[in-house]
Amino acid sequence: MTGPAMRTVSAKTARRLDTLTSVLFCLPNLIGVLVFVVLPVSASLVLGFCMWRANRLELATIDWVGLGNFSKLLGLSTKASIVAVVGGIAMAVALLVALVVLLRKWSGLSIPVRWAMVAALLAAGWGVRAYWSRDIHLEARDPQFWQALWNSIVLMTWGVGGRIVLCLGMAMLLNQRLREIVVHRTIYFLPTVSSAIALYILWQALYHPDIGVINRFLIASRDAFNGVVAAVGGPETWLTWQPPNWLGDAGTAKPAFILMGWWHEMGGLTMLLYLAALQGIPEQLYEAAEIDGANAWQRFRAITWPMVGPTTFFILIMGVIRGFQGGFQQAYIMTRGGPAGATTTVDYFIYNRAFFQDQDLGYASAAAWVLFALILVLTLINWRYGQRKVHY
Amino acid sequence: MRTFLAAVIVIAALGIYLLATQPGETAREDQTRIRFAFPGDVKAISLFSRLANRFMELNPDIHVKLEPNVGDFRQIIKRDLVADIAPDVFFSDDDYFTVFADDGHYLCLDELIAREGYDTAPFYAPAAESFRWKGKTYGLPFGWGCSLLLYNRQALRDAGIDYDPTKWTWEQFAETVRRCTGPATVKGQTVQRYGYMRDNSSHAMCSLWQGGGTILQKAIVCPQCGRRNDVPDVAEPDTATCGRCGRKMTGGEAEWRAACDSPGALAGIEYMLSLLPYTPRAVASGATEMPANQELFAIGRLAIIRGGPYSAQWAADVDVDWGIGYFPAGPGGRWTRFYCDGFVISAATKHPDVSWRLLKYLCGEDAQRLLAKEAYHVPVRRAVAQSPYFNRPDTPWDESIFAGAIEHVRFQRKIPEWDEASQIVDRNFGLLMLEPDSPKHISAAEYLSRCQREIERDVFDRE
Amino acid sequence: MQFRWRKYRRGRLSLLQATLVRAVLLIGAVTMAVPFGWMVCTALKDKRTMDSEPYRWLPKMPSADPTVSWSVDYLSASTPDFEDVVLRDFDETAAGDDRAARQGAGSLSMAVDFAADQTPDRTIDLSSAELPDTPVSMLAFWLRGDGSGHHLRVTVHGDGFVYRADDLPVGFEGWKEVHCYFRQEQFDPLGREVVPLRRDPPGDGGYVSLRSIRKVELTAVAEPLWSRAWQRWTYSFRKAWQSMPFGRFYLNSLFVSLAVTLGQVLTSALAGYAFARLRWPGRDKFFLMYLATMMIPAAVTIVPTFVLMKMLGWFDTYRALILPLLFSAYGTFMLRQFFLSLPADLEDAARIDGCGKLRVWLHVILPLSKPALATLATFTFLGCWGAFQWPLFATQSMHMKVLPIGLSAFQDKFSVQYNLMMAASLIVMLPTLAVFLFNQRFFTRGIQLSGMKE
Repeated sequence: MTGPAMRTVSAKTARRLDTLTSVLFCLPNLIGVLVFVVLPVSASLVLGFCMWRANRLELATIDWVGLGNFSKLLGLSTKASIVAVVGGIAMAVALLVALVVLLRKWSGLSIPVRWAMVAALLAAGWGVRAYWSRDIHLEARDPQFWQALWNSIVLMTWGVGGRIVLCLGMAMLLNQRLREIVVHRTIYFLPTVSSAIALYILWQALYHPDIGVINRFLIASRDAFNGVVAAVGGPETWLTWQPPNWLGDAGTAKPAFILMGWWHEMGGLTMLLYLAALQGIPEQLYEAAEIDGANAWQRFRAITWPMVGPTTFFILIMGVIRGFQGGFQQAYIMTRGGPAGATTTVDYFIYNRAFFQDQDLGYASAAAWVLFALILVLTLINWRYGQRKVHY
Repeated sequence: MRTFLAAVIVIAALGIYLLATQPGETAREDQTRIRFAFPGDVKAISLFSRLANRFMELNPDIHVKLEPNVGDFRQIIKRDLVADIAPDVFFSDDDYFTVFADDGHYLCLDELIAREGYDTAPFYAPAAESFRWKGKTYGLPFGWGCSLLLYNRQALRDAGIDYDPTKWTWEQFAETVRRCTGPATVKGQTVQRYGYMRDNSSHAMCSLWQGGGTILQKAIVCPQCGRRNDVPDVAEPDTATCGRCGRKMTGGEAEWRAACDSPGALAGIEYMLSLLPYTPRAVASGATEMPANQELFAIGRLAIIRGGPYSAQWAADVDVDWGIGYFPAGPGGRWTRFYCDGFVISAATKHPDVSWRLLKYLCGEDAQRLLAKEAYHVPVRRAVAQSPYFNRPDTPWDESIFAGAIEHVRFQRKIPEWDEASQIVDRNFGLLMLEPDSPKHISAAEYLSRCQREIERDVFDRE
Repeated sequence: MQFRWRKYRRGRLSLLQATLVRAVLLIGAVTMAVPFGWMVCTALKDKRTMDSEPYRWLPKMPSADPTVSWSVDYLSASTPDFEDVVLRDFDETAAGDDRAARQGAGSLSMAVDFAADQTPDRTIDLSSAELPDTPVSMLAFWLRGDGSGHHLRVTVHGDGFVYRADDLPVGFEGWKEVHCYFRQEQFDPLGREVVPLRRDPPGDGGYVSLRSIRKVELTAVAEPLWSRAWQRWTYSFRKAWQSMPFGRFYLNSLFVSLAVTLGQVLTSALAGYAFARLRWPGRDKFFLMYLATMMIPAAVTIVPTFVLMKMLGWFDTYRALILPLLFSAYGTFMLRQFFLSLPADLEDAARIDGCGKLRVWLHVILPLSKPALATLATFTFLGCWGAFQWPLFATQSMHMKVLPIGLSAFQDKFSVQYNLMMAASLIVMLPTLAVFLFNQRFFTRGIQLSGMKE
């Protein structure tokens, strides 16, 4: 709108035209997202309140079950004595109080409230004792879901935590002026451009307890060590441990997944984000710090870590979202969720219930929406507490 | 901007090329077009495309569109059935046959069979039975198989074993497995050799049967005297007779219940567990255990491996002198699991007659000969399975042992509820197979009673 | 601030520091490389197993020995109805289930020393045999290779025609079934050697009458060592490539991935701009909706999306593969954040100069955000290239499949042939690897920090 043109149309029309053109910008994407994303997502919300075993694509085969899916997913059947109930209530109170403390500062509380808090904590201790001594007996109605949730939390936490530490470390190493650095950056980036399915099959072979490359290496190094010990006059076989049965053991299956994930991500996009952030830190800051006599750790604490804060924050948020949503492909290809459900993530649980096990789309949708709620809460918490830290 | 334009041009060119080279409607005007879907692994594609091509040569009035489906075949075919885009003829295995048959997705073939006097007698009885549900026929069988053992002759010789692997008993087998385990010399290297491999949930069933147990028991209530008669899986009310009044129970109710906590079942599971110290450690689960054990067998570190007719192909490449044996006989008998693949016609097909012709060809003598030569299933036609086409004189192994296993197979009707029941069994089996010091580990008795309780509660809604 | 692949910290490291960094990086690089090394080594082998004790990484070199000793047994022909006609069983006497007795004894053997210039062929004369007058589609025989890798040429002489096989590299050891087809088969089975025969003079490629076949000639052809090594090492790749129409899968994957990438970048850039800089009613509410949709796992939306595709009649078309992926909440979110970080001055200046919104977007915003666009393009392309579940659900015909689906066809229910699996994986990975190795900037140019922060 040039100046003279504006004079010819009334201000109101101009504003309308402006709004219209603005909406036009968004429209292609908005329509697409509404049709191909929001519509299916809403359908899944409706399905969350239904049971649909999908014999035919007819609405008649969908049964409305209300909150049934959710109560089956999250429901706990409890058996408790009176004492235990009191303990349980106390526990809930204690939790509430703890939240209050989190939200407001301790020093801002009045004396009676502080006393009340101490009492509540004592009560909470009583509740915990009641739980452990089996006065309260909690049993989930769908224990598999809780197990999957726990697996997801473990995998996500270690995955995201390890990723942040490893990738930042890697980025700092790869940010050095060395002649061969580009070769290293390339090698570390390779898994990111490889087909994920192929890599899972590859790792499954590497993790073979008897003839996988990893255990062959572990056994060879153990034997070599024993050989050295024997050569200097030590016992014949000093070390007798067996290498782990990676994917076949409920205890090591998750660590195996986590290790593989770290390998996969160590030099990937996360590392590149950190590298970009590091390259964006003005060199003068380090020079000034060096003049002040700060050692490497102090420089890291005072300059590097805060300067990459926004990146860490972004990685954390996306990591939590993606971490909770992920895990199907690994589990499907490498372990089928086993052993004894140790690698079943919520994502795999949803797929399994939707397509393999019960084939009940309604129940799977309900699980997805529970997951959604969880992710939403975590993201909001991240957003609230993370951002405060980031804006230095 | 240049990148953008280049991308647009490349995409446009690619799109035009791909759309232009799309195989269009290849059926001629005078041809009836039917669709034929099957699992898209490399072997099956080779086998079924050859069969379909030959069928079209013989029947110029029919065009068969091949649809190999990779990924989980059941999931894809369910998508097609539900969405009403199912192929006319498609593969079905006995795992989910009754599920779709019960939902009315399959065309009932009884009328066609009766009209033409099609003879199902040449099929092995359990194979034909695999595609019947509630007394009606919904499909024709193609190839069957069962679990067998492949054993390393050298390993058995090393251990000084001279039992006949087609006739051994529980005790003899356990002794073999025990004596084969330990350090062994393979090509000059000393390695740890294992006697046998770990069973997975569905094969633990064989031990359970051998012990004399079962998972689900079928019963028919006599309409005359009201007695509940336990019957074999294949018995139908109009053929079975009542144990008390001795009359035919036509019109009687058939019902299923969990029966897994019998002493026989416990003996079977405990026998299976007693072999565990002589097995390599578990490799993940499900889909991944076979390849890993095959590697061990191939380098001589596993004396006996579970297999089936399909094993001959990979074992042919292996530098091990191997032979074929049967499962050992326990107190309940020498049982092994029977499985069968076959073909069905979609209930929604517009060309039932043409589909029926394809179905007949796929399960006919000619096609059976090709299957016999490809040899990863035993042909369902007895004549072909006993002919030189299956029992090939040129191969180094003896296929007649595969076909002979029909003596020991147990046909298990996988009722629609079986899906859910088997998941319960699987899940608890995972706990059973955990290391004994793991907090979640359960004993054999606990395993069976949990299965019993949960199947009754969750599958049959009974407390 | 823009990231560059070849940019480093300016400070210099001391020798000690540099050595330390180098050591750590080297250990890391070895860790990264070993799995890939295993993958490549396995793909280079021509046998299915890791079966050697102790483990051998590299495939065997063929021996330099200029001799071959092969055995041929059990020549038969197959009729269209899959019946076997035994032409010559070289060993009628041996029987029983003993492997050694059933094969080996009495077979036709060829021991040829190329150096000594012996007659390197064997002829199986069929003219005197009483052969039935039946059409046949292929000849089959068993062959025991010696692993030398020299070639075997199969020539079938008949009445007025000659069929010749491309030289069959006999790199394998032990017995294997060889099929020589008179007719072209579309997909070759695995686990055996398959040789197409070429007719001379060219014919219609139909069946051949068995009675018209006079003799089968087997000729040993010497090959130089490098060629034998090459043949052996590329065996798995060739076998994998043969077994699936990978060419079509490639083009499909490329087309779909490029189209999705381009479309997604375009629509996301438009919408991102609208969300970042333009004012319209409901903007923030819609943006919240975008954010929320990112948190729902894809598993539950697959079926509703499929139902939608079916209702629109798009099932099993490129539209179904491309369109649902074109509109991404994630891309919009990312670009919006980036646009917010751009200085508003330039835009205002352009507006004052009389540019409309479209021109501002095209001439000011887009050029400024090249790195962010490149990042989004990279993410999208990689994600789309590896996608499995949706393409599986949205397509039915063989010619519509994409690469990862072809890859999964190698995962047999009963056994995995690791060498073929790894070869197929490498085939799938190769383009992204190549693009990456030769033009790393394309992948990493745009990794941008400021786009990620609020």
